[in-house]
Amino acid sequence: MAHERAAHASSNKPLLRAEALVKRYPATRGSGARQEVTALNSISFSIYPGKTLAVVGESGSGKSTLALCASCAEKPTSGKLWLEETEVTSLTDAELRAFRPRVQLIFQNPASAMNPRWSAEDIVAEPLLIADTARKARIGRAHELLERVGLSAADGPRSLSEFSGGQRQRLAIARALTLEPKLLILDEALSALDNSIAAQIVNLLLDLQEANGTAYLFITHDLTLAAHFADEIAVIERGVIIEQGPTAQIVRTPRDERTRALLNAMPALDSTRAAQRRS
Amino acid sequence: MPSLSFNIDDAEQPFVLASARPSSRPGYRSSASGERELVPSATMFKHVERRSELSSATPLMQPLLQVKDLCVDYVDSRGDARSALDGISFDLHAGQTMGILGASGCGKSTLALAILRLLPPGGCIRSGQILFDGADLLSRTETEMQSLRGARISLIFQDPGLALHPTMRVGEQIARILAAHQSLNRRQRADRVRELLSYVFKSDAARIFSSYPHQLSGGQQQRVLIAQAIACKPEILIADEPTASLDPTTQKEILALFENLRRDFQLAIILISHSPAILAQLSDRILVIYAGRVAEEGPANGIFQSPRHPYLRGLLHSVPASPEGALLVQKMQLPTMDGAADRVSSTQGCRFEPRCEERMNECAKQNPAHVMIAKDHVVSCFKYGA
Amino acid sequence: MRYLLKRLGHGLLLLFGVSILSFLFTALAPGNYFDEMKLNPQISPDTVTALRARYDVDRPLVLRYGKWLDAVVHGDLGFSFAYDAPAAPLLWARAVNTLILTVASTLLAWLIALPLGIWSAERRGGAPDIAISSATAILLIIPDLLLALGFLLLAVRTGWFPTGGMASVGFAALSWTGKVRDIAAHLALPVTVLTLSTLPVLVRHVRAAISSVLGAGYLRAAQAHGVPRRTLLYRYALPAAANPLISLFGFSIGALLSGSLMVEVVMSWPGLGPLLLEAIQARDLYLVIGGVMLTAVFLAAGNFIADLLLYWADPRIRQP
Repeated sequence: MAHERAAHASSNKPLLRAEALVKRYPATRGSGARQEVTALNSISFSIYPGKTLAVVGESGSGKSTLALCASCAEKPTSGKLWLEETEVTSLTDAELRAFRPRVQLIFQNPASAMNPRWSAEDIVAEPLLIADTARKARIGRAHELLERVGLSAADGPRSLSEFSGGQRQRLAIARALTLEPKLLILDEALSALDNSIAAQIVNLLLDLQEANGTAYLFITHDLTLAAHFADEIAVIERGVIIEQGPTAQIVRTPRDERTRALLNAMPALDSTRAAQRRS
Repeated sequence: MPSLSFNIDDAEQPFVLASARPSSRPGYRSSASGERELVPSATMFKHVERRSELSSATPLMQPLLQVKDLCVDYVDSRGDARSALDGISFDLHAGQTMGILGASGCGKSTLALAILRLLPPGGCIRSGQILFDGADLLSRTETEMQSLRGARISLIFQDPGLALHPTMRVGEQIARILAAHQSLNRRQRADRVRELLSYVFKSDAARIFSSYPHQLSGGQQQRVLIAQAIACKPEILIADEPTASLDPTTQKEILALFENLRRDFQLAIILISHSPAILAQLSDRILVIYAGRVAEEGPANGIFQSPRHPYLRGLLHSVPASPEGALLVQKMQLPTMDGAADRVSSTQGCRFEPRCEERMNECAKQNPAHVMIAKDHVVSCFKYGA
Repeated sequence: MRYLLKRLGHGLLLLFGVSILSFLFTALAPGNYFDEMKLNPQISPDTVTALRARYDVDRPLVLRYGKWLDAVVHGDLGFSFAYDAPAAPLLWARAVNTLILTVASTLLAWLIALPLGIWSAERRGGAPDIAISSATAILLIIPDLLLALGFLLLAVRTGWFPTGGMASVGFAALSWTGKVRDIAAHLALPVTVLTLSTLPVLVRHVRAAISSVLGAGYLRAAQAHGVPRRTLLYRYALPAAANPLISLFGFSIGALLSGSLMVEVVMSWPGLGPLLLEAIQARDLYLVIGGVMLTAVFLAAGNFIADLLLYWADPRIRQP
């Protein structure tokens, strides 16, 4: 793994590249008139191996649609998507199957993405069912991964209801890691957690990135989190990326007014802002 | 009042070194002489501007709400009791905003429900007193409580999407609360509802009046909840994680709305959140709850400026305070505390002891008593005497 | 609006299908009215042949169906061989009686089921809930036929209620209130039987629907605002639980209708039931089809009313 990471670190070819992605959904209003909603309007971005791109936007901005298109869960209306030099938008479902292990998705609500009747180890080992490995090997691998994400192998047989929100996200990450993905897409994965628990998960993710060279597409509305975690930030509003660049640049010298507004809306205080508020 | 402002640039280098794990004593570093001194770090909250006059002044009048030694258990179907709140005490004065800070599962929502005596089945108030306007709420009848709820003490629940009836128009949902407590006729109720909606919504009040909840955004739903809560002009407003599911911009608007409420109605507000940043904006005083027990209580200023309890210090240090602050620790491991606060069974000693980096021998043996650091600031930790 | 038109379309399609099926089954059933006639030596074979020609008995099925459909659209439900009269007036008169019985039973059943279901949902697990559950379980087990016969026995033994029919002998001579009371007395037992037979299912569903809603956030929030208990149950919980109950309403009409046909026969209520039975036994084609179609119309109408109610009750369908 280390040599792979080294190879990736030096590679400057993007792991995932999107070009002019457009996604439209038909929407019916109550009157029966058919309208179309443009969720993504010509989005382009690149994610490099071992790096993190944060896509920051509010609800309705299209960020979740972006997650779906980037993970090939949905086909874009137009535009192209490249995964490691292969153009995946024109592939059929059967052809895509080979690529699926490389990109994994983690959602906001872990409980709804897991079967509540299964034990933790079964949940984590689920992706291995496809490879048809023996149960003992699967569970062994699951235990390995549980330890990796900060849980313990003893937690394996416990059922989902015995885990807290933060622990469930760890489970989701463990499950995602089963197939050794190159890219993890986290769609508001930390939004439902307390700040302190989210910070623990961020530490875990940073750890994994350093060890495995995993790249992240981190979708959030929390700019503070993005500023800490991401190498690059793209600000999205109404399906359009209004600003994109290295993290420090976006935070310190935002060019777009809307980005500035988003920065100001972060619930943190320093003297200047409080004074503004009072006046 | 002395200025308490720091600038990010004034900060010493963050104690989190580039590639290392957090130092074992968050918030402290060794000075040249080898002693430990408090380090202002980029991850610590700088200060909280004082907003209201009531905060540091000693209130001379009787507190509006006095919670004394409240103990609440949850009893499961097998009869096993789990302690949710253990010995919670605090005072709330008229016009004051009390922020209750704690992690998920620490009991802060239970506290809100206990005050209104709306605990879910299995919840039972074991002991303690809740004095509202002098009289103990725990000895009131259900009918008396019913006339109090929504009229004198209002509660705003956590998830606005779930707290509104799906098939009833918003205007009607507010009107029903008026109908439950006031004897206005139908038209008067409608007028009052419109008045309330114009207050919480800048524009569009008429459309909102006849809308259904599913036609509104999260922020709009939250405003409706607020309108419901202030409909009968209560004396105390309890808001449970009012901004949890909202976008940052909407969050800001809702918090501004709370500011307006404070200013226009002189409400006493109890604000419950897991986020120190949100509480810092509005609260006069902060009550920190850890695993059902009070960890620290004091003026918001003092709490965030110089946190005493190891849990609070750990919490404030573990999360970047702002995007700019986050840049300073870019891609570094955050100094989080290991483990989590939930599901603690009743133990002999301090409940934070297993995770505490500053634990001492006595910590596992006894629960620390409250120590008065200052006139209005208490901590529950052996480090400060006990 | 689109939703309602769609539902209406479904209903019409249903009726169309029912008409084809019932026409097929009846026409294909072995034997017909005229076979019986042939056996009667008093009627000459020529008369039989002439009658057969007159009633198109020997024409192909499709043609007969087409002719019948055309007639129905013009309000003519065919001709009854047995009664030697147009089928329509016969059917209408009986249909009205069935309607009276069904509507009364539906109303009564729901009027009782709602409070009972709400009451047991509120006290879930408690003594009243267990008592009601047991009672409904017992009612479920008892076949409708047994119920009908049991009440008939009661009527015969005690003489408190008439034992059949819709009106007493001296009906025409009664005053207006007297007439109403008379019909009510005759209606009492059949309605009771029908109500008791559908009540258990309704109560259980109401209880389940209300229980599922009782833990909801908006109820606790309303409670936190001091809304009184009765308002909470009837103005908050019940409307929220309405969707499955309205669908059940549509379904219960169908169940009630089929139950009513049997009850009418046993308790001699002059509705469609006895007529249909006679007609089937006599192979009276058009009367059977007419009867079945009318029943199907009631069913479709009932479901359409349920759709209307759903549309009115759930704004999420009306204004997404």
